[in-house]
Amino acid sequence: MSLLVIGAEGGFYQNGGTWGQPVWAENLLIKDVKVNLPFDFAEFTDRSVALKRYKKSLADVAVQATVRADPTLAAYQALVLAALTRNTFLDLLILNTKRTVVGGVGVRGNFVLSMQEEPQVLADGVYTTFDLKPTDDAGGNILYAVQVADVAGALSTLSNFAY
Amino acid sequence: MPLYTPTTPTVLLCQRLAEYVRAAWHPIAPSGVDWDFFKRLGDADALASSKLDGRQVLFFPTRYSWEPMDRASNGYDHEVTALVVERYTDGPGDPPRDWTAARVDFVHDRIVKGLRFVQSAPAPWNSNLVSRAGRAEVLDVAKLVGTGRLFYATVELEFTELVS
Repeated sequence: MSLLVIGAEGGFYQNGGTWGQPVWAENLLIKDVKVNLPFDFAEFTDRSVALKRYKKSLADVAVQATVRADPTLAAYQALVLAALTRNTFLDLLILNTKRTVVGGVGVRGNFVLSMQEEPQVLADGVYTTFDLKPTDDAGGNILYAVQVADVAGALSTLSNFAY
Repeated sequence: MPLYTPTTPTVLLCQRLAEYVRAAWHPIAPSGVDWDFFKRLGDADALASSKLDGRQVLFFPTRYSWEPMDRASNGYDHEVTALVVERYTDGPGDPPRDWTAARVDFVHDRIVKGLRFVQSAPAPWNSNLVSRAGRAEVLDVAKLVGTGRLFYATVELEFTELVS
């Protein structure tokens, strides 16, 4: 059965538990999310093959999230605090579907945030755009590609970006 | 028969605006505030149901649109028309300027300024409702100088409401 995936049905979850036992709370203030997971390519070529060959080298992950500004809600406050302080990072799960849609794909990892812009147009709603970059926690956990395995929200790991 | 409670956000807004203006203005009967989809305004000899007594303020839902504001909410843009009508019955001839000016000021103070909800002073029944813009017709001169001597002023109000 096919599924039309639209941005409004994506999932952006913030962890209120620990890395090993996460408690995912969905941030519903999200408007747009842009997930960039490009790899650099390293060329390895020798005379044995008349073809350039490549291996993936470094991944340069960048996520951008535009959020409706509501300073009265904890979900927004957590993002702003992480963006405005130097050492705070967030454990996030960012999927292209909700956690209940089997097959949904995304990333789970620790992110540092930066507030890219917050236009305050006179008569329009205020939205804040954050840039998210991967970082590691004290346990060395960085970033994983994940997929929703069942309707209860269990995740299977597709890969570890760090290795 | 119990009063019907509307579910369409724009219609519900008209009901709330009527309640708000009524509570702020305290009209003395037969003046009043109400909401509807249309209102017949008869002449002085018309049927009682359409006879106009006192100053009447009416709110009509005109138009609404919506678009997503985030993953859980839609922003509804409401367009509401407010109508303020009152017949001049104080004496023969045209209504004096000050009589008309007082009604024009009523429209500005009670409707335009009175319903200007902003973030720092939101609607008391809904902090997610803000005023966007408005446009007022000062009055319909033809109706005022006609045989009906009717003060008739409309205000087009635009609001945005976050609806989860």
